[in-house]
Order: sequence, then structure tokens, then C-alpha cells
Amino acid sequence: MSIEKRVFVRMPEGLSAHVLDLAARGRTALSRAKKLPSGDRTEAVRFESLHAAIDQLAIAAIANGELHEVLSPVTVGDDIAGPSVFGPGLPRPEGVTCLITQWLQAGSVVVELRLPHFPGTTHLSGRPGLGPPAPAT
Amino acid sequence: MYRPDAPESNTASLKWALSVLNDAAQTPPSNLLPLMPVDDTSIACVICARADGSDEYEQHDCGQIVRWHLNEVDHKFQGAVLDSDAENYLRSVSEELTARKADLHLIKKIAEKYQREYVIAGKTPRGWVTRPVQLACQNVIIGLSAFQHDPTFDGLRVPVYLSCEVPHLATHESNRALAALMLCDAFHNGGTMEIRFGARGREQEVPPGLRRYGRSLGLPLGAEDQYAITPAEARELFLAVTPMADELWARAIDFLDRGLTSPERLCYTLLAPIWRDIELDYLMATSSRAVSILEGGAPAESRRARLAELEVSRAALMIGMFYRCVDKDDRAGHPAEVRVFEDSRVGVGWTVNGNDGVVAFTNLPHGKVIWSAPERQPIVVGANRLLFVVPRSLPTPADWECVRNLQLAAPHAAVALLAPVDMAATIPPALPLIICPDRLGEIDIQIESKLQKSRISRT
Repeated sequence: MSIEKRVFVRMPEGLSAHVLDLAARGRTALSRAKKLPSGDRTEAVRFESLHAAIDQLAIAAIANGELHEVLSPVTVGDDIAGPSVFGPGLPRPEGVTCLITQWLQAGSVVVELRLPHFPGTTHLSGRPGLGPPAPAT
Repeated sequence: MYRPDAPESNTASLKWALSVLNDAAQTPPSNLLPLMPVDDTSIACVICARADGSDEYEQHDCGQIVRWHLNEVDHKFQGAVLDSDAENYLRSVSEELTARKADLHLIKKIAEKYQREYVIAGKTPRGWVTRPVQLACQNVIIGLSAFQHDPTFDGLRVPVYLSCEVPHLATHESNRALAALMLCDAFHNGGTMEIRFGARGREQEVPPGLRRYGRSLGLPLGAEDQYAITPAEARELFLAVTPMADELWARAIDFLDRGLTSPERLCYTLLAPIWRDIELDYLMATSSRAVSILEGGAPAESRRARLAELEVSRAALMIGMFYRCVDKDDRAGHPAEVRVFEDSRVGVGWTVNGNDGVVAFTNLPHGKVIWSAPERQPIVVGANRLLFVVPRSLPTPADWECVRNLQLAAPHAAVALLAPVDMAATIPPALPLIICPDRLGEIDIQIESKLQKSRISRT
């Protein structure tokens, strides 16, 4: 079973404004999603497609030789809510290296990707021998 | 039933049946005794023990009823078990044939009512509506039934259940398919998995065909309550009717042993089908978030968890699409040949390496691999008919390295990265690449639909 890692990508200056704009639109979509009736995923899907575009830009940036750093997942704040774009005026990420902090202090926009295909063995949750839940009666 | 006292010229005589059996395309073992016809081209036979003990069947198989096909069939389908013993078999067939006329009348009435109130009216029926089901294969009806969710016991009510054996289908295939539909409907309605038969207030025993199928699998259905399949029996039946490859089965057992999910959810996921077998195998092999994916995925607000789930789901979906294309011998584009829309699978196998997220395809046809990137070195499957595919929708340098390592480790095998069409430009030109024709956004739409189907409020 492959393992997840956090990939932090420093976005090129020319794309920073575009990425921040996409992230802002994503936040707006997410706040609209909370007002929708339960089960209506229109705005959630919009939020996800905006972030998919950010992810694609981050991968393109890596392919073009932009700086990136791969970190192992942290337990604290692992799955915290909110978008995974960091930059001027946005909250700072937790458990990151000095290099990433330096990027942010220098005013760069940083995108965090959580990618699951790094080589390694991930432990499955659950307890061996526990067995499936009893059938509902 | 074949009669020992009838003359040989009579097609209901034992002598006639024995001569037909001995003239079968595949010679039957000498200790098979014909009991009654199953259909026009197969005979139900009882396995007899021989006095000298030199049985071609195991001793514990003696007394079982098997189906012997008179025409040439694949060896794995020949001599399949119909029932555990002659008495049960004869009784169940007799009960089935006695009730058939009335059941056909009832299903016709249900179908007419449904047609009038829902099909013509263009309305979608709710779960509690009696919905007729017709199962057919190659224009032959092999099963008729009707399902409705019954809130009085929070389970599935089946007013009619009719199945039959036909020459072109494997033994009990109609029962297997109809049982799979029935169990999926029970799961989908969100109640317990209890299934009761007959109309409310006029309950009937578990249908004889279904009991016979259960006995052939070693599952006594209706043992606890003769009018119902209990949730515990339904669980065992669900697992029995869901086909799984050995590797996937091993992973499923591991998940069940750890209490991560229920057998019902796994079986429903495969049979619905929300995720196909290779896709589910990939999800379970490569992600610790497989359980969350099976239950509908993380909420959008948890973007990081959501991305990890999406990325593994995208890879699974792409590998599923690729597998279905390479495992099909489609004659489209061959001007000299007629295109036949039958089962055209070529028998490609797969193994998922969970540690690297790599799928090894075996038994592939020789030649250039479909979806090979046009402006790159074509990916050609060699004599070993082996291809390693690294499916990634957001490929990073670590994935490029994975492909290069595979090329070094297996120099005689074809190796390629599989990526969506809009990510191809981010991959170095020297890297062997297979391009999935869908864009990332299109893949995400399909995943959203799958996750939505999985969001059923049960554990």
C-alpha cells in the first residue's frame, strides 16, 4: 500500500494572483455550499473544480522546475478544513520546514497537495480479528 | 422424471436417457444416473457410489445432483452441482412447476400496473412501490420477480420469484443474477437485509429455486425462518453471488477481518456497480482511505483528505477504463470483418502492487498499446505480454522516477505512465506515456457520481 505525503509547491510569481483568485472563489463557493440544503452539492463541486485547477497549476509548476518540498504527513491538523493554498493574508500551514516558511515570508504563494502514491507501506486502520459489524436486524 | 419401466423409444424412459447421456459430446463418468431433463440440452443426474469404491467423484459428493450438458461446453461448466440430494431436487422442481402458472399471472398483473402507473405516467417509483424485474440473456427470459421495500419489517418483500435453467447459461446463473439484484435492492433501500416472500399477510416460503441454489452452495436459506432470508443468511448469500478475483477476495477478507467495512457494502459496491473489480482492487491496495471512499468520501471542506481520496480514485478510474479497452477485442475498423457485439473479452489479467501504486497487466495482445501518446516512442507489448502501468492524474517527479525504476527492473516488459489528456504536457517527453482520453475535470465528474451513489446511510 503506497503512502500519502504532503507536497508544497512554490507557485511562480506570474501565477500567484491567479491562484489566489481561484482560492478566493473556492472559499466563496464553500461558504455558499453551507447555505444549501443537505445533499445539494452544486457549490461543493464548484469548490472542488476550482481546487482541481489549482492542483493542475501546481503540478505544471513542478514540471517547469519550480521549487517544491515533499513532507511526511503530520498528525495535528492533518485533515483540517479549508483550502490548501497559503500566501499573503492567508493562514500559515502547520508542521512545515523553514524553507517553506521562508517562501511564505518572502510573499510567495504556496500550494499544498496531499498525494497518496509515494512508495511505502501504510498501516490499515481497524484491528485484525475484530470482524465485520453484525448485520442490522 | 425418467421412468425405469418405460420402453426405450419413450423419451421419458431411463434407457433412452442413458443412451442420450452416453452419446453426449463430453463422455460422462459412468456413475451418473439420469434423473430428469434440466432443459433441451442437459440432464440432471444423481452421483452414485460404486460398489468397488472406484468413484470418479469424491465419496462425499455421492448423492448430489449434477447437470450434464449434452453439447460441447467449457469443462468448468460441465457437471456443476444442481442440488444436494435427489429428494430435495425433485421436490423443489415439482413445487416450482406447480406454482409457475399462478406466479406468471401475478407478475403479469404487477407489470401491467407498473406500466400504467409509472412507465406511461413517466414517474419514478419509490422504494416501497412493487417494481417488476425481468432478467434476460440473449433474448431469453431467465428470471422474473418483483421487489418492494416493506416498512412493516424494514426489509425487502418479494411477491414473486421465478427462475429457470437455459442451455446457454451456466448452472444456477439465473438464480445467482436474480439473487444479486434482490440483495442490491435490499441494500439500496436502506433497510435491514431481511427478505420476505409472498404478499403481505399471505406469506410464502423461500422460493424452491432459491433454496436449491443455496443448497448447491452449502447455504441453507430459510433455515431460521422458512418464510424469510434473515439478514445473516442474506450476508452469506451476498458474498456467494458476488464474483471476486482471488487477490481482491484476499483484500476484502482483510478489510472485513479488521472491521473496516461490511460484506454488504463491498458486494453492493461491486454489483451496483459503483466501482468495478479492478478499480476496487486498486483502491483497497493503494489507499488507507479506501473505507472513506466506499462510504462516499471526505467532505469538501477537508480539502487535503479529499484530494488524497480523489487522486487515488482518479487513478483507479483511469486504470479501469484502460483495462476495459485492452481486454476487449473490438473489430471496429476492420473492413473485412463483421462487428459482433458479444462478450469479446480477451482474458487480460491484472495484479496491483500496492506499495508503488503500479498495475501489472498480463496476457495482453502483442503490439502497440492503445492510448499510446502519439508524439512519443510507442509503447509495444512484447512476447512476454506484460505491461506495467503507473496511473497518476497529478504526476510528480517521484512518479517519473517510479516509471524509470520499473524500466530498469523489468527491461523486457513494457512500462508506461497513465495520465489524463490535459496533464500530458507536464510529463517529460522521454517518459513512456499512455494518455487517458478524459480530462481531469471529466474524470472528477465520474468520481462525484460514484461517491454520490456510495452515500447510503448505513454502516
